[in-house]
Amino acid sequence: MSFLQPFLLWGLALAAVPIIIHLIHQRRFRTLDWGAMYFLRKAKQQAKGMARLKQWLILAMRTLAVLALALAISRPLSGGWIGKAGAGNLPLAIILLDRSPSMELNVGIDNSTKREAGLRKIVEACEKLKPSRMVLLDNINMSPVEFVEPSDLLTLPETGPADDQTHWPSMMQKALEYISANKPGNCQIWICSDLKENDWDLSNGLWSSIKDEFPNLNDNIQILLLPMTQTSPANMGVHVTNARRVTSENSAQVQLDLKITQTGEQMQEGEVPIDINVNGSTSRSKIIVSGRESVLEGVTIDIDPGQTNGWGWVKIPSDRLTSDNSSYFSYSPFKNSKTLLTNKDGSANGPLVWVSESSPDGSAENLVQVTTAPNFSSLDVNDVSLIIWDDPLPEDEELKDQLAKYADGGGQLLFIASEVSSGADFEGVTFGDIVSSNQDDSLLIDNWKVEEDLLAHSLDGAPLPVGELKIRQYRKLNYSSQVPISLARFENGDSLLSKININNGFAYFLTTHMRPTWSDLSSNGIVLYVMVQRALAQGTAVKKGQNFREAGEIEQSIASQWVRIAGSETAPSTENASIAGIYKLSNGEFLAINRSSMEVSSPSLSIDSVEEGFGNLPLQVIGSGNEEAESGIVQEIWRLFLLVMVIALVLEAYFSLPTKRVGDEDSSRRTA
Amino acid sequence: MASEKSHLDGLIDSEVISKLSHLPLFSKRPMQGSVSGRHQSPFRGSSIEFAEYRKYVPGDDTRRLDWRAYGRSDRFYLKEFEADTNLRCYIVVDASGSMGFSSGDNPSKFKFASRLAATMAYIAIGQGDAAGLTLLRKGKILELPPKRKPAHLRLLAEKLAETEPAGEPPFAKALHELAEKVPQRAFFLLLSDLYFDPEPLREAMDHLRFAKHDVSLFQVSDPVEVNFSFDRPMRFVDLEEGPDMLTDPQVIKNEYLNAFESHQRDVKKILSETMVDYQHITTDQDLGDILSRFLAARAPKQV
Repeated sequence: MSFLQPFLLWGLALAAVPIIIHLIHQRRFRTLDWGAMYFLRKAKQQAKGMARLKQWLILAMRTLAVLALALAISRPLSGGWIGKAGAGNLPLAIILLDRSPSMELNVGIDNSTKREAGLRKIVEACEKLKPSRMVLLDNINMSPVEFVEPSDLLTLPETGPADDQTHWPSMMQKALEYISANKPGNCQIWICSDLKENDWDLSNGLWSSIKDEFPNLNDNIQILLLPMTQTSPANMGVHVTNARRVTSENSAQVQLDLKITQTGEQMQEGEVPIDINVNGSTSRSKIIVSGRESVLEGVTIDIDPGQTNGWGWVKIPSDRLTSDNSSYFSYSPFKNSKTLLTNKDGSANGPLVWVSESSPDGSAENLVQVTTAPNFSSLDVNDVSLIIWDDPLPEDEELKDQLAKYADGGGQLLFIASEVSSGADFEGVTFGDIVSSNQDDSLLIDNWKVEEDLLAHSLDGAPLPVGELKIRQYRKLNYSSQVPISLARFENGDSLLSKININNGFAYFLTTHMRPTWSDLSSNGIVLYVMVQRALAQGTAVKKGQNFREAGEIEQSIASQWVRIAGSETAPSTENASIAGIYKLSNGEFLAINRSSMEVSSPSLSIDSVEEGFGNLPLQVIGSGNEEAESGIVQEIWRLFLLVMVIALVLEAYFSLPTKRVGDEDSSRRTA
Repeated sequence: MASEKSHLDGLIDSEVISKLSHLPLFSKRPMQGSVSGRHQSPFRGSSIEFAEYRKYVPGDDTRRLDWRAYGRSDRFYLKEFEADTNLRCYIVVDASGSMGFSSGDNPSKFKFASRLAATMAYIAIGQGDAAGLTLLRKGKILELPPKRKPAHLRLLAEKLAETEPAGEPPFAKALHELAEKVPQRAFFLLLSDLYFDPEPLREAMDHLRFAKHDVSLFQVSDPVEVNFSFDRPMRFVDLEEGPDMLTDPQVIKNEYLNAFESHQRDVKKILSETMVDYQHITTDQDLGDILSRFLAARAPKQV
């Protein structure tokens, strides 16, 4: 048994009060000269049995009543029959469901997955608890759905498998918003999760705001965590990392880059059969796997030369976790690189536009889209290779997340110091105070990275004229967590250009500006041009030919218009963006959506770390090896203890009543 | 003399006396007194109450011949009348330690018994009967033989006032001795709380009845002894020199009352079987009421 208010267990000490009162009462005797000792001795002899026992029973009942009261106000939780007997009415139960692909691991009970097993446990709990209202909140739709019968949970489309990861801080935030709006008074939040570290994101700032906000809710909230931490001893997953169409004179092929990952203690070595489907026709071949990760590049499949757009999938034999046994891809002709420039007024003029537009070989015109920070969030940045941010660093958290997610997917970001500083940071890096040179002297750059990256020597070994740049003003670069890698430094050690790595992409920080009062980057355009073109090329290299995205990358409202031609047959179209499969877009092109790559590879958190992450929030872990595990249900049982208290008090009153004596009817005539 | 008077004043209440003035003490059985009185005698005498006719035998007083009977039957008959005599009242007061108990404003049981004894002695001597006193005390028994002199009343009151109840004198044994000692029919008024095993009482009462004595017994109790109402633990100190007892009266109240009532039932049974006139009184009752009920119940029924 555990308690929601364990500090109130100090109240158990009050059980000593009846005993102390009893002892004090015993000491408060009066002395009396007594004549009728004859009867007193007889009475004392007879009272040795039941009457004496009764006194102890009365004392025991009083003590029990105090103990039961102290336990009741400590809000005990219990499973099994005790929980069932002592449970009260529950106005609201919110079920937070993790539908991520890692929840599709077959746990062996009735051949069900973690998600199905968790749902069944919750259904069982709800059937016993009978909450007045039940609300489902899943990681895909992120909007509360009310349902009537607990068993509806098993059939609702919102509880089916999906391929997007779960962001638990946001889920919790949503749940609390719902409670705050509905004020149920008393409610339980059920969390069904496999505790993936990536999903829980315990370092996210939202957690602290949740913890701050929680005490402000006057409702009695209980958080119940149903951890689905079972793992598979052997698991193999396939991922198409790249798919491109290559053509020769009379033929065309699709070249696939595959990554086979193995997790668990047992690993397979050697040949593994693989099914590759292109445009509906499947072929089987074999691949060799070894170790945790096997990369196969350039797996080639012939296609119809006239077909420029196409799609397909790759499947390996099913194991316990089926969601990572297949991966989808699509291909299309290569498109031009695209730069998105965000500046103060959205003007499409200026050196940054010019250096982005023309490609180095002059073969293609690169696309440049100019926007402003407020309009940024409405744009689709998935086909953008480089985002140049010529504006103060964004303060809006959602905007920052969008940018980080973009970089995470292989996009390149270039932040340029501005006249005005917002004071905001991006991934812990901020532009600080302005440093100016004395009078007409410029600041010298004495060190820059020549081996690689944006300022590297050209292919023929010629250095970039970085040292000739005249910098008159720059902003100091400050950082809190991640130390930026410096690509160019001033004499004093301050950075001119630095970068930070965000998974597949980079964010660059240029501490000066193109204005003549700041630098001659504009007039001495070669460095700026090379820098931007190289960043653009990096971004394009990642984005090139990738007509497939990870689940959750695209807005659901856009994705719901697509037609699914391969993948789940049951998932609703409103969840297209989160369901792995092949989609036909309105322009006739194909797009592949794959499961979130972080999902399966992310390790699971221990229950202790989740408890620690929850801090003071009233979290109860179910099935953590204690008695509740067997029943799979935990309930508040304070009513049971109140009942015990009432029974104890009634018994106390009963024992305190004078018993009917022999010959009681004669007592009125005793003195006659 | 002044102190004697004060003893009397302390024991006899004029209000009680005035309440009882019209109620003489009657014995329920014939008494053998030394002088003529208002009580029936087992012998024939010269009262106005006709008893029987008897044949004349030589030697009888010829003045007592009933000539009317001779005229009717031509035989000599003597007309005999009931003899009236005085009674000798033996008042036996239990002065054991337990009689010293009192509660609240109530007098001690011994004090109450003393008042009752003195009042009864006053009534007896007042109607020409003899009253004597037997005090059962620790170690010895004090006996004042019955006398008719009013001065005897003072002596009696003095002894009652002087006595402090103590010890545990054998009540039944003392009654046996009295039954042996008193040769003629007498009236015994017994006053005790009877807080002892009642069984020996049966033999003592049988003994007194065998000697043809008229026995009345007043059992005196304190109201607290009857109700046993206490609200906290008590240390009971035995007035009869037994060990003390520390107990919570709430715990043993029922058992106490059961023991008390069981004892009372035994007492009543024994006394009704031995035809003893039995009264259970408590010290918060009115003495005048107790005695007027007692005396009225003993008065001969009017035919």
